[in-house]
Amino acid sequence: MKQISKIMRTKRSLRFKRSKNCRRLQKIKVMAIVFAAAVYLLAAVSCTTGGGASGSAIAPEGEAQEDGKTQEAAEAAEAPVKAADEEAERHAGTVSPDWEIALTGEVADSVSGASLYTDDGEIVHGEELVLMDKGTERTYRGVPLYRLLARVDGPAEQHPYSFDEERWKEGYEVTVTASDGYAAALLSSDYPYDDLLLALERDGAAVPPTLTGRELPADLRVKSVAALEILLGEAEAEAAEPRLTVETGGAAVALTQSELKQTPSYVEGIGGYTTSAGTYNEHRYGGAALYELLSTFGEPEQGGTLKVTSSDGYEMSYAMEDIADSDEGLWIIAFEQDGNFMTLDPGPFRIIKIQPDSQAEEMPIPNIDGHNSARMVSSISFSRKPLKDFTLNIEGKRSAEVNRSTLEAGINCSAHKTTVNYYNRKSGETEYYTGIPLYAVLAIGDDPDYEPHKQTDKSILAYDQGAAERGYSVTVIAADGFSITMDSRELHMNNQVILAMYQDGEELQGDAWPLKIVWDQDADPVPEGIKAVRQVETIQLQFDETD
Amino acid sequence: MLAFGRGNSESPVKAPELENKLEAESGLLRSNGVSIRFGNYTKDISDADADADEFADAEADQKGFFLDAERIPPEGVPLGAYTPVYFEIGSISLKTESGEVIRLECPRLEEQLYDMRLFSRRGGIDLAAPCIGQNVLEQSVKGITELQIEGTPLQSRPLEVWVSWEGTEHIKNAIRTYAESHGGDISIEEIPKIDAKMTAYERSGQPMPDLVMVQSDYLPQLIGERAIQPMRTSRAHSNPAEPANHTEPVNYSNPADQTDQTDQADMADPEAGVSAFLNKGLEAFTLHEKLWALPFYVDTQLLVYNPEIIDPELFDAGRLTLQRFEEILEQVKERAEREGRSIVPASWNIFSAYWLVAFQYGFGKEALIQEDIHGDAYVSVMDGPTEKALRYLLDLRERGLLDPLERDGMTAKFIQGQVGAILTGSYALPYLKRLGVPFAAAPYPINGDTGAATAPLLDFKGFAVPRRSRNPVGARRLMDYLSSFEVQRYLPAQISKLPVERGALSLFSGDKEISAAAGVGEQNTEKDTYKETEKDTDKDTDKDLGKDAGKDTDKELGEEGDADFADASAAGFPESAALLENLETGVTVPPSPAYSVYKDVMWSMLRLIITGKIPLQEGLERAQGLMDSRLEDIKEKGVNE
Repeated sequence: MKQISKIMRTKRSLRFKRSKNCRRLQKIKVMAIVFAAAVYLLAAVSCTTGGGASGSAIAPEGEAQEDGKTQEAAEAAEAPVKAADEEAERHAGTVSPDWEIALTGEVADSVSGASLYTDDGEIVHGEELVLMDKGTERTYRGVPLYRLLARVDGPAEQHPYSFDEERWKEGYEVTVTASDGYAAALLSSDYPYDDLLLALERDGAAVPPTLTGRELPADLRVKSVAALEILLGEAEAEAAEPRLTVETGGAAVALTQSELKQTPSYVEGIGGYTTSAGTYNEHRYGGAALYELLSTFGEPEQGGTLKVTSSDGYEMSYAMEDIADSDEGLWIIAFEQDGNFMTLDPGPFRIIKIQPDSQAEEMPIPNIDGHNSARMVSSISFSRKPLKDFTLNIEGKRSAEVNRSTLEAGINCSAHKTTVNYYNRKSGETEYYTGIPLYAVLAIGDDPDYEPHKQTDKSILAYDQGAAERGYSVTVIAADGFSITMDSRELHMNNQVILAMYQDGEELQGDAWPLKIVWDQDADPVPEGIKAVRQVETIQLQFDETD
Repeated sequence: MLAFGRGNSESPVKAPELENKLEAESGLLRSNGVSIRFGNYTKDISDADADADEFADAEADQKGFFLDAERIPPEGVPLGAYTPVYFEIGSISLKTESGEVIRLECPRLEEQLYDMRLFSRRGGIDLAAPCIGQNVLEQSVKGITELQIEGTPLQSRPLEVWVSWEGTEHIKNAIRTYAESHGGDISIEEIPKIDAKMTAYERSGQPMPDLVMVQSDYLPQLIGERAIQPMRTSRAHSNPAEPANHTEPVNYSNPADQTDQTDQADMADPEAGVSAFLNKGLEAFTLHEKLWALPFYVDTQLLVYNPEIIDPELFDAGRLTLQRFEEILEQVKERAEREGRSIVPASWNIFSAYWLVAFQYGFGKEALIQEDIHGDAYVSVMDGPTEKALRYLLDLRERGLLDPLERDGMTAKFIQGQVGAILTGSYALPYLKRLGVPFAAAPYPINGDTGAATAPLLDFKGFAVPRRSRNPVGARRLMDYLSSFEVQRYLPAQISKLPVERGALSLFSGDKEISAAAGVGEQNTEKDTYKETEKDTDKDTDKDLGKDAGKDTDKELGEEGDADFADASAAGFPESAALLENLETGVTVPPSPAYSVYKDVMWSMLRLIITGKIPLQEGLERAQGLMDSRLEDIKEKGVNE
């Protein structure tokens, strides 16, 4: 019996530093899941037999060859077909290497059948394994499994890939999925890493990629392998389970969905919200009652503020007094929707107000504004500082009183959120302000019919670009009566002039509160007549009579 | 240890339990019985020719035992109970009294060991196997004296099974029996919400179990999470689109669909065979044109009434109609008023869409889940049947004939004798029996105006293999056992469910010919003898079919344990006729995300409509809008959203 030849390899330890690379790991995890899911769904929808996975599941990538050269993408796209023809001639078997295997681990990758053969028809890194199969000695030839897993058992790297032997011995789960959907998992540490082979040939004839090994039981010798997925232990598990950071009293704790579910604050009920376009959504939610949850970290003062931050940068503030008021519904941080854990969007956590099951008879189902139902929440923090409400008056073709939460939602929307470097002439220092471009606020008053975000017809733009280009006067008035007037033509699409709500990431303080007009030191144009207006209270749009 | 030996021929076959049996049997005369041998492949099956010398060649290195004909009860024993668990079987050779050797090489024999039964007849032993004939009447090889299996036994590895819903104690007992037969290390966990736990485990990368119990509407979620794997099995090969008919005779013609992880793919017969299971059961677990679980039992909704309040003769005048049902309820109401008794004519949970579906069909709905021109599933409630169904139910309530109560309240009132009739799942029956509550069951009524049946939902439970199982084949073999005639003929009935295996169901549906051929059922004149035999052999065999049934005395609603069901395998149970009727007319809980959306949205909307908070038409419009919006989300974001 021939033995697999020993292969020199680089030993290394790649203990993943979760704290340092957590964000990156999560990003990779999402990519990897999408990648492997494509293979899984492919198996679910179309069942290939014998010939291996469909090449259309995953686009072929430039494949590193033994000499270390990487094919160009265009060549790679053509290579499988060409190689398939050549291999069909080369081998007595009928199996074409026109297949691809998805590899998922710390990173996602794939390997095509054609790329595992050299131009001479030899298997790249080919090894041989002789074992008994149904009473008959068979010679298998293929690629050692570890060489494939080396691509995904650590951070992304280029050929030559290094295999983390230490990690293999520590033990991680390898899930092998066949093209027909059959799947089996094995624990790496149960097998010598160099005993497992992805066989491409048996007794000289091509076979579908088949996992085999001398110590591998028959049911784990998976044929027509379409995906290899490894779960890399604790770091992977921790990264996979979403956590909510709860900050209060200077301390922070990160809780998983399952941990939150075990707290006494867990509650279920129905909640609804209406998007700015007027669409009503209603679901059954499960989550932690916010006030009760925060109470476990000490009695939250009702005069305080709850600030919610989402993974996409969205932020929203809530008066603790409102959160504590459960007369018309219970504010919760939800992580279950209709009985299922929420996924990354709208989950893993969402703020919502529900009618608890226990009060189904007494209370209508709450219906909150969509901007108050922050989704993709990653952290909540409580501060004793009271939430101060304010109103911005818009007077134009349409008049509106815009409340704090609406403006906060607009500013924190990723499409609007803008930070400028404002040069303070008095102090001689640059200050950092965050807010919404002023021209976007004008959209509220520049048209009698269309409010921003209120149109179900997405082709209708709330901002009247034509009117802005024709020109109208924009007057900004402060609480003390101070005012400036600018021309809309200099504000039109000018992202460097903003209505700011935050300075250095914190809500405006002192006499600047609640809103301030500022502009970037490199703004072009700098509108004529502009000055830094604090305590902005009203914005007037004055049109020509002909407009 | 679950199975014996290792995957390769270098390793000896180990079967301590069977070796012990062999030893125990060695003192018996071997004049009337069958020698059973089993082992690894000794040579490539493609090179082997069947001849009598095979047995002599194999005898030296293969294990086995002698099964005396007298040890075989009239209803037979499954061959699988006496063999190791196999990963793959190449052939089963049978030697008859005449010296003839018959070689079975049907694909996937390893899945069918529990479908093969040894019968003792007129002093000889017959083997009935699915792949021999078209049905159990034709599928026997008579006068077997020797039987030899050639294949690859499955390597022994632990199995973890998650079970749920009613009857878990009985399921655990059945699994224990299997483990004892095969020396298996099988752990069984009772998990209240398997879908939620699997989702959490899949997301957190925790090790998965090997076999899980599922219901059909779990599938979208579990598939979306990549938590379970599709399966191919010769035992379930069927076209789910075929019209379902549970009375269809058992047909085990050559099963096809053999592309599997064994090397027998080239032996596949491309012609489709007929499944061992009810088509509706397969439909319940088929999504994306793939089968994701094997059905285990089916539960359906029943009309249950108190015979002390409603005269059973009132139900006897032909098939019950909704109109007749109303008349009966009117009579109950009048009598209660006359006698000054606090009795509600009828009660059920009309707040739940689960109970609305039947009436939607009864008022003319053709399909709950429909497909648009793009092939996307949707549900419409803005239609005449839905509106009529709801108006009918609201009218019953207005007239004081129906008291809408949720399950616990309804059951409590029924137990107290304060309700004439309820609509309930059959899970409640053992509980009512144990409490001694008088009750009788009737099939759902038909609508006399439309002729349409109020189609109860058929709630199939089954077993699925997680994608990350570390013992997927071991799990499938256990699943084959649980869904075999051997288990199906008694276990579902113990918990007031119907079996899903056609042969077992024939015992209930009155297919006398097949039942008699199987050696069981009311038609079996040897029934009493069987009972005696069963008692006699209790100590010797663990396969005596539900002998422990009814010993459990669970106290909670839905937890079975009624001794009357212990012999359910032979005669069905009193309510089985009503269940069978409902099985004919019922519709499967669809394994579609659209059903989940429908159920969730209507759950809240029905409450608003029934409590009068919003008018019916507005409520349906609102529900439709919500459902459309959420299904649109699902289409855009995937199955989980």
